[in-house]
Amino acid sequence: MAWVEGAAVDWTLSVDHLASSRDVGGSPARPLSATRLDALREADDNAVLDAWMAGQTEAFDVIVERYRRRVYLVCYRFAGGHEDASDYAQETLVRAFRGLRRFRRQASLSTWLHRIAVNVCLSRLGAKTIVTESIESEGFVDTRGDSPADGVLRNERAAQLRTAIARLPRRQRSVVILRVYQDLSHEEIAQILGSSVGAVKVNFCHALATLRGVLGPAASSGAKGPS
Amino acid sequence: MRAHHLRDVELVDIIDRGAVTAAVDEHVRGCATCRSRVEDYRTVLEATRDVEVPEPSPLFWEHFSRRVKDRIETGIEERGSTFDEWRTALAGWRRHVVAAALAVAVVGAAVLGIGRWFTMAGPVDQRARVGFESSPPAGGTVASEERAEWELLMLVADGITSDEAVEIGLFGGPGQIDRLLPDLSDDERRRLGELLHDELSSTES
Repeated sequence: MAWVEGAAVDWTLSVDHLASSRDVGGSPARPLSATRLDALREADDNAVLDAWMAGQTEAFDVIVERYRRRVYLVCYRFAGGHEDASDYAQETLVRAFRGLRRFRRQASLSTWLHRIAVNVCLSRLGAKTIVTESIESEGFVDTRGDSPADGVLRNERAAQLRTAIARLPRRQRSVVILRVYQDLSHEEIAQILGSSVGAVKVNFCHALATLRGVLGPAASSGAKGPS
Repeated sequence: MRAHHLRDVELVDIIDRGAVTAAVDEHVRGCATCRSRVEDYRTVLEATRDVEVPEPSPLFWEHFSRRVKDRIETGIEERGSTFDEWRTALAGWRRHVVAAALAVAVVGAAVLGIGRWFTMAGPVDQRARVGFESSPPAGGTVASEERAEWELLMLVADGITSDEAVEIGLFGGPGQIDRLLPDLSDDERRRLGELLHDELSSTES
């Protein structure tokens, strides 16, 4: 990653309090030493979840550190703006915290978090006007290698696509975001959406057809030959 | 050479992995329509991938984690989104009205449709057939009310996408059909099989 993760927030006091009052995980354990916390950061998801269940409340800190960017990016793709994305991502992790004790690990932690994020986004966006363009993103994209004409074309096409993705039916939009931007497999997406792999692929195909219509002739490579 | 063009699933497999069965590969090489479609969709996929998202600064993540902690402590996510939830609930209520209307329409159509299956074997009731195809069954004063309701349902159903139908619960999840099948008679099952076969054949062509 091109950027550096921020330092971990000290969860110990507040989460210990919650652990004792809400019976999260096992019996609250003493705060981890810095060395053991570093070891937890290096551990795989299952080990982190085991630590959480054993009452090591710092384990949730590790989960937040590990998945906050991914969750935020999913939410950004749905919401189309930073403020909402940040809000939805926070809500996703809060819901994960509350549901972690019931997480049975039949899916991976990543899949489970994605599922919560998608549900949060779809439910929060359900009553909102569709976001058609994210103006704030324009200043962040590195276009230094583009000619002015390329830059205009690129921005115009990106805006068209953002609008079109935002207007896709919910399931198609979810599939596009999870497949194209989160690089999840069709099998993982099927788990997240509670669907079949075939249905995911069909939704993906329909979404691409719609986006192709939006891009118009620019998307037509026009391969010709004998049929 | 295959007789039909690429199915959606095959198209996605080609775009994603570039590896497909020999028969599909051979078809794409020989079919300009499918080859063009594959290339178009690849172009669209690349363009879609190019739509970037701004990366927040490292400082944002420090703030973000604190906000998550705060929300866990205070339960603010439940109070903070009250307005959104109210609006969602209102939208959901509207959907349920539409769902109820659609359910009535579907059940009505199904009853009339099943009736038509069985009348097709014997003398055909022309009034019932016309009623099924264009309007609700006629029948005195009730008919005009039913007609108005029917027309309202047709208006409501118009433009509903399959996603929306699933969302409002008109179609259930996987396995629902398994629960319905035991209730069908042998004739109904045979007819369902024929309909599915016809549908699949028309989709493939």
